[in-house]
Amino acid sequence: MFQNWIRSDGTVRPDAFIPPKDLQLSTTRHIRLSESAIWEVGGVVAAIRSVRLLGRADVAVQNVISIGLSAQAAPLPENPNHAHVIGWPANKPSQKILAQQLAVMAAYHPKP
Amino acid sequence: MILELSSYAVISSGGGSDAAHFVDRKAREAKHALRGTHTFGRHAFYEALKDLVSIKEQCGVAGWDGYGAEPVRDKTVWSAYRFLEAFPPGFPIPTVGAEPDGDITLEWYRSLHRTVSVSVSPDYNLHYSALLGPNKHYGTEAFFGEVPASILDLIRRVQS
Repeated sequence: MFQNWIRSDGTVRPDAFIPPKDLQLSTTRHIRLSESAIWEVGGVVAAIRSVRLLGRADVAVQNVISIGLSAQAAPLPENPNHAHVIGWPANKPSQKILAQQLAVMAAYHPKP
Repeated sequence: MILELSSYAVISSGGGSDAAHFVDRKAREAKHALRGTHTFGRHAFYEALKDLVSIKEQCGVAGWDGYGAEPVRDKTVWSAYRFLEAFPPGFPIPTVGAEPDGDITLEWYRSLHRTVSVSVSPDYNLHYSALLGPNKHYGTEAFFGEVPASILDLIRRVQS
């Protein structure tokens, strides 16, 4: 999470959910992962990408599906639980309103 | 830091008649003078400008999010500055952010279900989305130096 994506009240800005150019938003599924294992994965990913791990925003898959998007497994060597949120429209305003809805449903957890 | 922003005014000038430039300059001077008073929110406006500069510093290189994000470019910062400057004095000032495609975002947030986000792109397009209770609004407006009425209306409704 980029620092400016977290509001002062601990909620997440929609900016965090805007997809990249390839319209595949990177996420990590929590399947069979303990709380500590989730943070461990985050730490590994942050180290590889040379960024500081600030926290995570959790969104349930059913919430993703409820707004017309879907989740697709895309395992990586360093993160077997890596997945993409796909199904994004190409135009920016439509992406923004979906990102705003995901932000409403997201729960932010700062790194312990 | 503000000086860096001011330098764009020189770069951006060009085109139009001398009279048009004179009127534009005087209008901007008057707006700045008004904004310079405590009554019309000098502090908040300059806080937003500081945030804009901070975003440029943090997000000015490719991959700033660790996932190949586009850099926030000087032109986008200038577009966002012009957009902020165009708001009527005393209007609520947004918080500033950035998106992975390099757009700068300005957000007016009251609660999760009462919020407006405007993405400012380097080509002076304003992509907006708003949640007002159960209602969703989104679209694109071109920026021609004035804040589009549709966006002003959404911000007013979020704040009311």
